[in-house]
Amino acid sequence: MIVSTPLDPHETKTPLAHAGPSDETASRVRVTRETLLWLGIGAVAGLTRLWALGSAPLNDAEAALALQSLALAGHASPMATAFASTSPANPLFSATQAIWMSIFGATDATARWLSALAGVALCLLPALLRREIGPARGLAFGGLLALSPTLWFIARQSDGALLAWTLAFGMWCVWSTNARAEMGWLLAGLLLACGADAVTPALTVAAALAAGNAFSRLRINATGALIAAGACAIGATGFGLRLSGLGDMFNGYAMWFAELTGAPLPEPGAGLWILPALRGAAGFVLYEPLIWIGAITGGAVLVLRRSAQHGSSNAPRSRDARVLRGAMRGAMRGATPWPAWAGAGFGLWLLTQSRTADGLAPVVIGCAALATIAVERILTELADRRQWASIAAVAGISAIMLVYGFIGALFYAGQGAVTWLLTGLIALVMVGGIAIVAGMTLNTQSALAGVGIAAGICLLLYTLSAGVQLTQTRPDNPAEPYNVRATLPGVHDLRNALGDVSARASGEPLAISIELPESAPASLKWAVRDWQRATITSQPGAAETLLTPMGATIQTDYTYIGSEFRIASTASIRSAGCDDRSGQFNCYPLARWLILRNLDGSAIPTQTRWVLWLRQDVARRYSGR
Amino acid sequence: MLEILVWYVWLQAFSLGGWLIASRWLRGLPDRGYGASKALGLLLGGFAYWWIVTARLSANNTGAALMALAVLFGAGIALWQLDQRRATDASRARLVLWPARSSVIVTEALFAAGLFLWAAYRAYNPDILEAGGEKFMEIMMLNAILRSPAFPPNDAWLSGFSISYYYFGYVILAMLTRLSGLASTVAFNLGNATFFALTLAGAYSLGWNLANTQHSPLSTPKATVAGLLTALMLAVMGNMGGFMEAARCAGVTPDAFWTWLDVRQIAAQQVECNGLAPTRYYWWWDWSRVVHDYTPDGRDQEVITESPAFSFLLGDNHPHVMGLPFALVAIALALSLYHRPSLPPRFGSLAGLPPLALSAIVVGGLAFMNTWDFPVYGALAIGGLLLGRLLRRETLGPALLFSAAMLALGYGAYLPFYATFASQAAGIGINLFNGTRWPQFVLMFAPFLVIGLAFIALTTHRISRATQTPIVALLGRAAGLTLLALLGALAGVTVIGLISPQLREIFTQVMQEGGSVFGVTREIALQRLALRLSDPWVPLALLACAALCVALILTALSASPAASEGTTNTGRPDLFVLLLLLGGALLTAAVEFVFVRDMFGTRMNTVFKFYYQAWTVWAVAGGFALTSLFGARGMWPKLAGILSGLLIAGGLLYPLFTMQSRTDGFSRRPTLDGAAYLKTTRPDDAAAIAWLNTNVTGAPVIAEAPADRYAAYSYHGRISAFTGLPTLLGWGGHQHQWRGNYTEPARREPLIETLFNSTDARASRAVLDEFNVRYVIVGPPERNRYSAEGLAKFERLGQPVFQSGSTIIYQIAPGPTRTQP
Repeated sequence: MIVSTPLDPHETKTPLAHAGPSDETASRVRVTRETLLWLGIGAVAGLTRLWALGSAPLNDAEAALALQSLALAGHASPMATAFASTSPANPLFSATQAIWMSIFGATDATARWLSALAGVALCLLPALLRREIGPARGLAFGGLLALSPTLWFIARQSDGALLAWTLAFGMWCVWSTNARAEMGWLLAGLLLACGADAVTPALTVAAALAAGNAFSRLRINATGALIAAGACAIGATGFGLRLSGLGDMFNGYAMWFAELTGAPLPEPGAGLWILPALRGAAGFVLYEPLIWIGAITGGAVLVLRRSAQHGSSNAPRSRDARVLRGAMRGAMRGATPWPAWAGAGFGLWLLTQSRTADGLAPVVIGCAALATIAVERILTELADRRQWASIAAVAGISAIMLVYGFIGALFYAGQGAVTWLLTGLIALVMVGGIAIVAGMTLNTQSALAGVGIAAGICLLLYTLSAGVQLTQTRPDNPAEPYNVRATLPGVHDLRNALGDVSARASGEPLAISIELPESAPASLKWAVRDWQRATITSQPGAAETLLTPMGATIQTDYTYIGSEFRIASTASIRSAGCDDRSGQFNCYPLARWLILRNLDGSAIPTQTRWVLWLRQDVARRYSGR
Repeated sequence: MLEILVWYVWLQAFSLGGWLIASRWLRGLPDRGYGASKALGLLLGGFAYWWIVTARLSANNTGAALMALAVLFGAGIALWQLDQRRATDASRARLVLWPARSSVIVTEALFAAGLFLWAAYRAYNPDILEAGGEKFMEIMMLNAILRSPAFPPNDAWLSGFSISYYYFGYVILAMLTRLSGLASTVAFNLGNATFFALTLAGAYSLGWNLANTQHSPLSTPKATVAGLLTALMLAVMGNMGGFMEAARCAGVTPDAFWTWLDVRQIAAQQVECNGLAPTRYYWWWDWSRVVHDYTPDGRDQEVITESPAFSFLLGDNHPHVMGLPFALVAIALALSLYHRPSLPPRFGSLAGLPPLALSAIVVGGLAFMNTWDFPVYGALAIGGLLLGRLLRRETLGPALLFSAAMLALGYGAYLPFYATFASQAAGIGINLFNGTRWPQFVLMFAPFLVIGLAFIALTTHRISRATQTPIVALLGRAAGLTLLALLGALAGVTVIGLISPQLREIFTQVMQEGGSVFGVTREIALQRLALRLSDPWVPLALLACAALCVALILTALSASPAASEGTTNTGRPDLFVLLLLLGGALLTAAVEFVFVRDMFGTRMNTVFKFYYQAWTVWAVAGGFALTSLFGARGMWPKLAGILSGLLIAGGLLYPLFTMQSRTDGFSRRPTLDGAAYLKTTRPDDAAAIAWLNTNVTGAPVIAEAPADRYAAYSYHGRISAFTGLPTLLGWGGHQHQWRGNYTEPARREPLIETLFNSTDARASRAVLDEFNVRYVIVGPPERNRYSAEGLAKFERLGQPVFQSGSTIIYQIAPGPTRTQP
């Protein structure tokens, strides 16, 4: 049985309904079902985030982090040694990753495990809020986070930012619910140990606490400060293994500020894409319609509910307007932590001109929380079993219309016809009509619930497909807004080729000597991390194998034979828009990009190619001659 | 302007942290240490930064500097919390700064004005030149510290070695440079302005505190005047050189006068004036060598007599300049201990640890900042503590224990510095032949002499009345002490002469019939000795003043009422001022008899440092003393005050004229970048330096032409100076001074010659491999010195990675036995 729960943490909680079993029995039954559902959310989160983590090669940023962690772990390879003098921006993440890779080995998958586990934990944190927002909203919250393609994508990137966001969200959950303040201080200390990655989450949480007027409830005492300081010190130093991590933590703060103040101003006249962050924002709109539509709907539900509580149906028009304004203010006061999460997070993301998707985590969190209000409203309607049939009918028909519209868009977008726009419009009009008719014949709320369920299911399916596409089927597609610089499977091919050459030419897979220039991307350096005879040099030209960018000239006394590998791909999505150059309004590029994530024409992705050179004698040994 | 603002914000951040600590630690001062908090915050922050990097708690980066600031605030907050728990309501009320608000406002105004105005002055004269000061060496130190991945920092002028010098001031400057994100050549000039501003603020605070004690007859406005006078006399006023030059330009001084005055290099100089202002090239430099010594056989012997104003006008960030604000903190500590020592009720309790630790860090830090300051201001701090306790009839045991612990902890707190520091001091030498002539001494210290003597006379009169001791008795005691001091000095000189085998050997050789040492025969030695004995007035007068100060203090102590231990403010600033005057007298008298032996072999450096310290303590005493003269009854103190005022005004002519000369009448386009001139005069080197600073991380070794064969003050070592990248050899002369020997530079000189001059690539390669050289610089200094054939081989040995005009940078691949850095 679904219990009526408070709309927001600041409202007086309504007592649990007592129809049916006794309180104790009911709570045991509720907990058991709820626990199973939470386990299910955990399973979904785990599956989406941990499955085939090593299928795509590490990109440059991930590789640089991983090599830095390898150096911290004392790995003796030349590639790791080259990163030994760099200062980790997130010492907690780097130290933990170093320990992790020391235990489980240095692979693409193990490099990403830490972020993935943090991502799973993030999805389960809403359980801490269940007493405040209710079990249903809590479950919905966790489910939305688990299915979010943005969080899904971020969790599968080796990056300390998600660890920081998880710690920040956990800290906020503990403090805003007044539960176990010591845990909150512990998490705060660990968050501080995240260095540069800690600043944006800390500022976002501060904004959320301020919006929710929770600062006054924080008990700042010596015990808390000591717990935080201890956790910070232990986290930053990697459990005391690397004292200089403390300095790296502070240096991370300085780096965040330096990037903020040193970020170049956008060039005038650059049009819509003046801010690099807008690419990511477009991605959020594309990948998270379930969440942002749900957030808008949830906000509307909240406002309407407040207005219903404050005013009467016979109130004159001017009084209606006043009531509505008052209701909106009231709604804002009640739910301000979540808009604060989204607003502060997005604002900081724009301010830092970030190009990575991890800055969108607070936006997802904030919007998902608001979306749970809509979910709860729908579930409330479903509580009345008399309406199930009509709701199901409306939902079924609406779902069919929406699926029709989506398939039509998919079909026609691929052909380039403008019809793809019409099919979507027709579908929406049809759904709207069904809602109106159902509203007249049934009741408005049931009709809206039916439409909402249909939309929700369709958006859910869309979200799932977007997430799978982004992370599994096409992780190397640079047309995906979050893939600013996609690393191609060619890196894995190159690594395998090197291993093969080494084994056949020298009898051992890691024995061959490799030279690569200082300008080699981190993803390549990571690829050759296991080779003890790999050297970074300003003048490659003497080793058994060389890696050079395509078109580079080498000064050498030897003869080399080369094979090309595609390493990375970048694409600008600026051209994915409508134009009327030919006299006709043509949205074909936009359609293809929106629906299929394809770019063509002048926006064909630029691929970075590197050449693996085999010295002639090595090539002979490799070929058996 | 933005650069100064950013710098100012960071300075205030450290000031706030320093205030959190000073308000608890220097509670004996009426302003609760507000004026000292600015320098204190920087010192403690720098200490934390240095230890954080030394202990490998952080790499040498901005994070370490931020961490130091966090530690400073954490310590301050912890002290507050500790104190709040122990404080009663009444004492909490006393924590408020409201009663000292006028001092706070003036301190802040003075600090801001000093920083911004002096930065503006530096902007018209920013050049970091190789000659006319030590700026090349100083920018090298700063850049070397910024480049070093860890501490102890690399010596950029001797690759593979760490700095062997007191570099704490550069650490503080480097910390601020990191936080502000400014270029080091800009931070260099802002640093000079910072030390000037800190000196103004610290000096004002000391003068105000002295004048604002419980029993002081001065009201608050007069205390403000006392503070301003102190700041003026310490940081702005020069010696009488400006006045004398104006007199010369006015034609009122005959040539014979100048011959008689015998200030080095001035008598023979042409008179070049613009009105009353001198325009002779470098005229202002000559007045930093007022005292004129001679070798026994009659040749010139340089003696440095800088004043703080000269130092700031010169613009060098030398240790004695950087150490000045922190010496004022030590004097503030001495005054606080004198008034109200923070000794624990039971020595050894936890409550006593913070003040002990802070005192140790401040006093011990002086040795790290400018080793010469440590014994003097350490002794002053201990003297203030003991004098205060004697005045309150308190036992000296805890104070002595505190002092010993402070010195021991102060040494221990800076152990990593001592581990890598090699002092060039080689014992005590005796000054037999060169006494300071009284006209030169007066030219140097005229205002202080009048103020000091008048104040001593006034205090003699007051103490005589208060203790009902006849003045004749007081003078008699002083005379006795003078004789004792003189005999003691002579005995000390004799003992030193007898102890030192070298001096005994010299004495024996000279005294032999027909014997001589460095051309000095027995006859010459006896002639010079006789000449010396015929002009004993300076040491006699100084010893007499010192003796009179001692006599007055002892008399005052014998008559002071008993007081309960450790509770009340002493309220006797005049005795503390006497202590300062005594200190200055002893410092200036000491160099008449002995000096610290170093590689210069003369008393030049000892006079330099001791006179500087004497100027400092006399200036601190001077503000209170002068206002006391004007506040006293009778005509003669006021007349003395007026005369002092005139002399101060005369001393102010020096900075006025010097600023005009140094800035060419403020005609240049202002910039704070000390390396901007290179873009005009040496654009290729400037571009090479910019390229290295942008593209080269870490501290790989470079090779450039050295100033070898003990040379210095030349354009060599310029790349390493402006980048901090260690070179094989920079200024050899300075290496000799710092390390006390020339062993390693001498070993490297022929190798560097081979590297650049030899056409044998293999031999050059061996040198490159031995020192792990990564970049070779070939620019105008190299082309002027080495053969074209020798330089041409670098086309084969390395890869040119940068070229601008005649300056090329070659990147050298590591040899087969070397790994990539």
